Amino acid sequence: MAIVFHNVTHAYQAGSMLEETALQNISFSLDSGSFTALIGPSGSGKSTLIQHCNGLLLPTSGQVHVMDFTLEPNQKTKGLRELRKRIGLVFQFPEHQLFAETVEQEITFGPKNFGATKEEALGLAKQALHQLDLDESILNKNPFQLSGGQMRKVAIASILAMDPDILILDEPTATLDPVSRRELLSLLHRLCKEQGKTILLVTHRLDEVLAYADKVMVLKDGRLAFHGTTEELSNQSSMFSDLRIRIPSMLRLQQAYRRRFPGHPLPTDQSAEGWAKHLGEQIALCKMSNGKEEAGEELC
Amino acid sequence: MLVDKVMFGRYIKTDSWLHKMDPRAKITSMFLFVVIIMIAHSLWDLLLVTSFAIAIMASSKIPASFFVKAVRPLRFLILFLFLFQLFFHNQGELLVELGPISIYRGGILLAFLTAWRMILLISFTSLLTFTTAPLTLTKGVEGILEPFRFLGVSPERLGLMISISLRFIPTIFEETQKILKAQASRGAELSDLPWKEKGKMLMSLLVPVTVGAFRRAEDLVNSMEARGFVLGAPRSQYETLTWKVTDTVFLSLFFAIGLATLLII
Repeated sequence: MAIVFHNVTHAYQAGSMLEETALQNISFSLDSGSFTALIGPSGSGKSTLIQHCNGLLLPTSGQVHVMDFTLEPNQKTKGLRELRKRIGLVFQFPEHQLFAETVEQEITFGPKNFGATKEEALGLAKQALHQLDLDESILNKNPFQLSGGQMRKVAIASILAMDPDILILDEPTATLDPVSRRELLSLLHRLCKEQGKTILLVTHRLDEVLAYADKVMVLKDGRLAFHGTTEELSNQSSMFSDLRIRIPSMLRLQQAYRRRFPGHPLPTDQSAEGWAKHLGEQIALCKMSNGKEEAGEELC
Repeated sequence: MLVDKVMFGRYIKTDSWLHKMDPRAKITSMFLFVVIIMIAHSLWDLLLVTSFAIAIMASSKIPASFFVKAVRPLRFLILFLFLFQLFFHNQGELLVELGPISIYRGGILLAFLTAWRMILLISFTSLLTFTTAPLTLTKGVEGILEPFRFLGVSPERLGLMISISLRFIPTIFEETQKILKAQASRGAELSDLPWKEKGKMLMSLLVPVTVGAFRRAEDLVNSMEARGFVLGAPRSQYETLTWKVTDTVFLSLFFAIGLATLLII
């Protein structure tokens, strides 16, 4: 288990008259090497939740276990460095945290803070740049002269360069162009499947991550409304209308397919090509089994 | 959290009679209060002013802890003033003499009175922002500055400046907090480091916050221009200030207390 929440409640300004409960009694566990999407309307506590994972926030009650660390209420925040070293947290609009004179200084900042030597840090930085499909030549550029999309990528690279075991990202794809969005998601997917990193991704676009995520968590008003696999999600259409989230087009396709072809298996490859091939096979199968085209159409 | 500790300039909604008062009356009475504190010299003066202030603070329904929090950030200044008076005032009976340090009876009294006045001043004047919403406060300032228009003062300009700065204090605080967290996640935890390293890490905080402030300023200018904002153009007001009898009574109370402190010697 990479991350375990045990009855976690968090209230901002607890005990004062301005107290505001952001999370209520949240319990869940994420497997190591899994890819989880966290969705929920604005103000449902997503950002509060992820800040518990590396001790930026401590639970007001309950416990958070992250790998072999335990976070408890009123614990000392000193000595969390070891934990933070192993958890990469990419905040919303990470390009707002850029500060250095060169991209190199920016990306090596994290690794150096966690004890890497200059050479090691540079190696990690180059590797992170490659992963995000950025050219090494930008290492000497000023990060503030890059385009918005490149700044975002540099900021994400600065987290990747820390080589964390767990990667947590808060809407990293927002305001990126569609191509970069897909590239980033497939990179995260690769990191997850090839290097065994645990990924927790906060997003508003469920459509986009469904193909990559193993599990989906839904937060609503500070409570965990759903936690399960993407397949289980397709039975939850009432929850989507509750949350005013559009049902992802993939789920709508699956539902429509099941209605139209009851009892038939879903394609194993869920990509667009996979679906086209599968539907073609289904039609061919119908034609073969019935001989007559019209009768086949009716049956299917 | 940093934001929790800073009480200065915060609005606390308790809907007391003080909240409903005209901001101009509150601002003027705060000025009067500062003057009263200045002229209140004796112990009896201060006792009178303190009981008056506590009565008003209690009627605001704001818990005492908020006033304590308002004074807290200035505790070292108060301590400094206290020690300064204690060591350098040489009237009355000599009580202690230790090398260069000599403490007189008058010094002790004055030190206590100074600290007391300082605490009273800060906690009571924080009532202004506790009970007045920022926008109302700005309107009040504009109203107070209106008579000075002939001197070349532009109340609208000042009002706009104040309201924008007040509006952006929490925003920039929030942004600072966010960047603190983001950098802490990258291993730059300020509280974990020795002082020398802290200085270096400060850059990783200051640069993004400054860049962010400029970005916001630019966005604001653009959006104001896009909406055709012209400074000083005739505008309709959503809320207008009305001076009521309670405001006159409130203000007179301060005059009365001021006179009383002048008469008690």
